[in-house]
Amino acid sequence: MTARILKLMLWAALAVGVLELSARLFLFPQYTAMLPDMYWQHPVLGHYNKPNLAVRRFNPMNYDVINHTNSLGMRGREKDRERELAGVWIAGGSNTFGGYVSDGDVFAAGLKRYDIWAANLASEGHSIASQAAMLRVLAREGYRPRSVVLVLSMYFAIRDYSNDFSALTEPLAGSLSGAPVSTKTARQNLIAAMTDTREALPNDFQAIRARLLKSSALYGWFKVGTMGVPVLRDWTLRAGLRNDLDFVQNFDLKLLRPLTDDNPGRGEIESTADYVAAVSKMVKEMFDVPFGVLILPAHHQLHPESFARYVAHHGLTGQDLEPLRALTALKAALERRDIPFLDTFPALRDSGIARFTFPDDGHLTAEAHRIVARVLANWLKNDMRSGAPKVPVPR
Amino acid sequence: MIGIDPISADSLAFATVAFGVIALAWSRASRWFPIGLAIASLVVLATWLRPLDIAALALFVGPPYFAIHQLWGQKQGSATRTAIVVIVWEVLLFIYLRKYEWVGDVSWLDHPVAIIGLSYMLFRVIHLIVEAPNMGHLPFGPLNYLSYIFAFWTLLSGPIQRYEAFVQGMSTAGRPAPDKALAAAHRMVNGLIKAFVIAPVFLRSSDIAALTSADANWLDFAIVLYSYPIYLYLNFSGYTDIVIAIARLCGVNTLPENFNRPYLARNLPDFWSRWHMSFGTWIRHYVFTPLSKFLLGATPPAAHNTMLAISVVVTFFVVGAWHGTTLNFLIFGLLHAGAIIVGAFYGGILKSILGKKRRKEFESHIVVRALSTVLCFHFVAATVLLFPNSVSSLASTLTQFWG
Repeated sequence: MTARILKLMLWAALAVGVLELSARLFLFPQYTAMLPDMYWQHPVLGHYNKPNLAVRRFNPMNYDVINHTNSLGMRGREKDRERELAGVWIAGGSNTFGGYVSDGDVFAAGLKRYDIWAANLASEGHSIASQAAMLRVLAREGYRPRSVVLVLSMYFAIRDYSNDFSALTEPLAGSLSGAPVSTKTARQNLIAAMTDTREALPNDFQAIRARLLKSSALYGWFKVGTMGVPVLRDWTLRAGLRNDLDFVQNFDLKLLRPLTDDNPGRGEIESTADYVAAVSKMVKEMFDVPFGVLILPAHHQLHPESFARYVAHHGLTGQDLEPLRALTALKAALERRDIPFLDTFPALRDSGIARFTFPDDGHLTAEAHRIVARVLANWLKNDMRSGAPKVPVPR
Repeated sequence: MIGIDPISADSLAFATVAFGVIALAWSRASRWFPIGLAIASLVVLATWLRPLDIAALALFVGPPYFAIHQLWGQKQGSATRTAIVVIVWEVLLFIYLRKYEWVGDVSWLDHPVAIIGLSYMLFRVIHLIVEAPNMGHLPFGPLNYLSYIFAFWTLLSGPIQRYEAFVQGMSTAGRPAPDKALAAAHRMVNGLIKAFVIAPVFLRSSDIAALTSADANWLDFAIVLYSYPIYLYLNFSGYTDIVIAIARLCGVNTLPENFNRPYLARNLPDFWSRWHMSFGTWIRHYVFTPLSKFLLGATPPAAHNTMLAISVVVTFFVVGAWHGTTLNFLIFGLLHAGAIIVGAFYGGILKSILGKKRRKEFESHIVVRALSTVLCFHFVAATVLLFPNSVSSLASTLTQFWG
């Protein structure tokens, strides 16, 4: 009996394996790319985009695009690399990298439509500090921009940066082109590798899900492919099998409350502005070129009805929460430090398009990227360099 | 290709393919095993190739098939000439497809073709071409040819199997006895642990960049020096354990062993008879022996030592070039050739001083044996550092460390 059960289990495992292999090779290979392997340990920055990527990002009813990176890991094509690096440098996180829109639709690339060449230095998951290090890496490699734009996406960009100032001055660990350099000894590497081996197996449900999403076409299809079927899509949402985008937190709640003296959010806004000012000073010292900030609003700021649902769902009604409060305070803080900035919220709000983010993901859509590219191009040409109006009128 | 992950030995897809062929071998349909193996191998190979790679691969394995077919069991006539022409074609195409860095910065090498396992395919094809006239008693056809050249279990890292052993293995495919199956499964688990759990630990600690850290000391140097050879052995022998176990679970017992405690070797010839043994055998059989025979036959006895030295250098030039396309691998091969020649010279001096018998006694002494083993291991450990590092980065890192 035991032998029969064992045999049955082995045959079942084989059947699943064959099904999985067929799914990967023939049926729906795109579903193995739900969490594509896009990052590597950069010799200097650590977590950064792999160079020379051509990765498909696929999610039915949301996006189906290919992300390319050049030989330095920056979003875009290798053939344009030098020209882009001789232009405007745009530093930012995931919304700047634009992983869910195609190469030409990312707002940094969209500037070409206005005769502006820009290098997209961003990486998904990168903070201002990591991007500041990226600026230093490029400077050390001998590149020089025409100007630098730091993108502040309002998703959790405002925080306490007091521990991040060292990223602006500490020695860079390695080199992109020369001999390898490390700050870790072989003893530390050996111990870290042993620890990683111990932790290599997924030890919780989330880790198992992430592993499956990364590697299994069958799981990817069940998890994401079903979203392409409207009935299943609605049902999984109602049944709570996947997150409703509106209910996902966009900001630290204290930043939405009145910014009174006892609200620590006020200090975080000042800290963010201080850090941006330090980056601006670093850019001035390294390159002596114009520096400015581009502000990208978050899903709840762009879609007030979504924010209302969020408030109602989490029982936050009556707490005087205002999604634009921190944005307004940040702009004032930047203004006090004489940092030029472009707030894209008015241009997006007045654009007339109904939806700025994907149905199941809070990143900006291609349409929103195009609007950002238009207002940014206008700002770069007319305002930022001259230092005239810091909040340009959207056109 | 976007969307399709190549099937590597550490993937679930590889496990599925392996379990699929094992299930076929164990089933009532085991007579279809050779076809199943061919299909499985083509599926694995296909995941690694783009259309241009497939076209290049067809050029690489197509012409030899017809030549081998023509030469099969034919000892007379133009066999030698045909064999030479096809071997030259294969070697030139191999050099072109592999894009050897040291060939020079020439535009015709700038192509996008990349074929996995090409080095192993080359050895199998040359073996078939050379031995075809003597293997007329064995079956040969497109199915056997494809299965032999592309066998998924030896596609990525060997071992290099002889064709007669392959044919014999196919004839015994089926369900092994329970004790043999259990032993094979045990070996597979050992291989998995060696290759994919323990080996990666040592890969990380072998990073020479760690020697540039301000806190690096001699302990770090020792960790870096020993980590890479440990990684290399565990990874490679672990992989060999896995593929031999898969074959044995299919009732195929003829995949050759590849390792015999190589780091216990007392000298480099001994090392190369214990490390990647199927490769060492092939090189000896098809490069060193014919070349040295030819050179010794063509020169007077006074020049024989020089001819043997030339044979060693040429053989290890091939060894280096086979292992990788950069200059590092050539330097690796030539260092080994140099050390073997120095070793032979030292042996000659010992013999002239001590005589044959006392030299043997001296070399058998436990202290001398231990010292020889330690010296040989350290030479190997130092030279394999050329595999993952460029000469310039090794030089600058070590200069910085010692400076």
